[in-house]
Amino acid sequence: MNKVVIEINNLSKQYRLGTISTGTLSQDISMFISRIRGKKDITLIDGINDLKIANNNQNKIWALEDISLQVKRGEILGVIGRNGAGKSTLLKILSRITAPTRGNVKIKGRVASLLEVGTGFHPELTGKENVFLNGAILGMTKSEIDDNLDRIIEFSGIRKYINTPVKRYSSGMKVRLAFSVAAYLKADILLVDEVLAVGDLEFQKKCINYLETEGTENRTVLFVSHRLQHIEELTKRTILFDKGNIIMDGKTDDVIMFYKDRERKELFIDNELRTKSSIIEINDLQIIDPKRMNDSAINKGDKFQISIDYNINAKEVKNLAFLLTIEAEDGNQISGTKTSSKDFDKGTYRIRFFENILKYNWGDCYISIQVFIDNDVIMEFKRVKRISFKNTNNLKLLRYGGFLLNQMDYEIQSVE
Amino acid sequence: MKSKSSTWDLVITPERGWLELHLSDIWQYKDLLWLLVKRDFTTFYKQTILGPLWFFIQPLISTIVFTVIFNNIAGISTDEIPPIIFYMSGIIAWNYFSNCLTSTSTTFTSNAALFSKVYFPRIILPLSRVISGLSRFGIQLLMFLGFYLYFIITGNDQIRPSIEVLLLIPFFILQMAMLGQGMGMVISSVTTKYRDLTYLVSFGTQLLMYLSPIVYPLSVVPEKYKSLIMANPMTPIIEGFRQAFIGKGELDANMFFYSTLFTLIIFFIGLLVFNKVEKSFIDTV
Repeated sequence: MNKVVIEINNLSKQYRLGTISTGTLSQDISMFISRIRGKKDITLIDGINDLKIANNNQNKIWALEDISLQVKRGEILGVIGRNGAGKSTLLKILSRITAPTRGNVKIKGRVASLLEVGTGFHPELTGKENVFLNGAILGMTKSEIDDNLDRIIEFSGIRKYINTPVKRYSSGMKVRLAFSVAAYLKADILLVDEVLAVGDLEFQKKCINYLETEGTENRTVLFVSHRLQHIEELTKRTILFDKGNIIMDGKTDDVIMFYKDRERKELFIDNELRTKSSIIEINDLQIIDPKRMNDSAINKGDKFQISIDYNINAKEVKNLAFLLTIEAEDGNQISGTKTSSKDFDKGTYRIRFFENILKYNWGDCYISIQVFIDNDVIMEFKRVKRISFKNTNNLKLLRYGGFLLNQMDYEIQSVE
Repeated sequence: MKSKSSTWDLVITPERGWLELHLSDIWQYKDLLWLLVKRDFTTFYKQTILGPLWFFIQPLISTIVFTVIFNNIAGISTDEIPPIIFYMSGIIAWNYFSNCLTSTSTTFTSNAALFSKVYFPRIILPLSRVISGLSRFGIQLLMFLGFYLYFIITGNDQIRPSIEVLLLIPFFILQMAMLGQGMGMVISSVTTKYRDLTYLVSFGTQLLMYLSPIVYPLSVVPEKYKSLIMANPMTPIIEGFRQAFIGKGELDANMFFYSTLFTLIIFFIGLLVFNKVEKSFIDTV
């Protein structure tokens, strides 16, 4: 049972920016000529940042750097990391969409990749015709699809519309159909990239249940997601990517905890760099929960405060206001409080926001701050701090509860 | 590790040798090939008023226009063959070739979104186009045969089919498919880096058409241009078609072998380049 089905040895993938090509032959020739003559290349353009880079060596980016990994049969492996950390590149190499620069991968069994739902759907064809087409694109034979057709349609829950052209489907219906095809893929290794993010909550649950139960007998799954919640539910082992390296490989709970911690620290550092203002300087942001230590999760039902210490460096500031927002991991805003505009003298102040209503059900949330003068944003801290809520009191949990913005009370005082 | 006992089904490495073609993969995906052919065919006339009639309309109108302009107005000879038969035979053959060429030449660029999400042997797509084009060609050939039989029944004595050459028709069709796909594969591989060629393709095939004996018979070409026209590998095929059905046309063994060899070389080069590029074209497209 403990057979290794994926063996990755020293895998690296390098992307070249700019020097690949400028897109047209004439420009490429002039680039080539200028390079021969030793001139600085004027057409060189960085594909991502539009920055001109003078040195050729700087145009290379290692999307993956010397990765080695083994995955055993039947294992469900979570893959997490920030955007651009290398997760998708790994999946692309494993599914043979692109080739590695160095190293190799050895695979046992049939691989199917689900990097997007509904790959190759043709709008003019009916749902049923698309089931066959999509299935075949994903590597199924016609007889395999025939055998499962009824179950696929049943799973999708859109039997009524199965003979309607897909262009008349809502996006939700397309996702349902597409995932149902993928669910019945007869593959030994399944590569899944963020596809569960689409679709309604009910269908998401159905898919996760499926992956957890029927989907997994002897099937190896590599599961990339930004929804840590899904990773937690589905996987026991997780790897964490950062800048093309696997920086952690272990039990899902440990890796996620490490990742969250690291993210929070980096968020704070990243933000500080981008948010200097000569007028105001924010020194500290704290979540004060009377019953708990700072930074640990807040129990649903507990009251808490958010306090921000700041300096006013200008002699006098008119019409200064704060906006404090709390948003869930998926960007859903759940609380937003804007203070009324106030004039300040030079000095140090503390603003405290009080939460009394306590209807947070969201798990991990993030605090963002904006500072306004005359209704113009002069300073912005996006997702500056994580704030977690948990529910040990076992109050009723409505994960996607209300969309009503919560307003907090606040108080500003001068600090010596 | 116990690596020596294990046998791997798939090994992914950075470089792929020029000759590792993995043609057996195509067989594994034969169902996909078939479904894509079916898709091309059924979606061709969806949401059109005239539906499958479009298969006939285009070559028919081209034939009429050619007859009026090149025969009636410009007075170019058709070797005493009824103009409709003369032009239509050239047009439907040319259409099939140019169809194979242009649809193959955009394989990488127009399917980049699909190719960036899922793997299957990339050659399946142009292959499906060539096959679905074949069915269109077949339908048009039937239309041609209708006109052809009409002229035979009404007793046109200029039409004398040559049985031996008729037997070569399947070979000509295969050759057109391979030539079109071969050239298309080279172009589509190069267009992953250079988009310029995309514009050149539609323009280029049009020019190439005038280098083929479609609006004129090879017999009226002045001697000094003849070698240029003969260098076009499509020339012997078009002439071969006319020779087979009508009995008029210039096709000798040298021309035939030249064009066959040319086709095989182009197809092979196309296959190699395509195979090399498909591995990581997605990074540059």
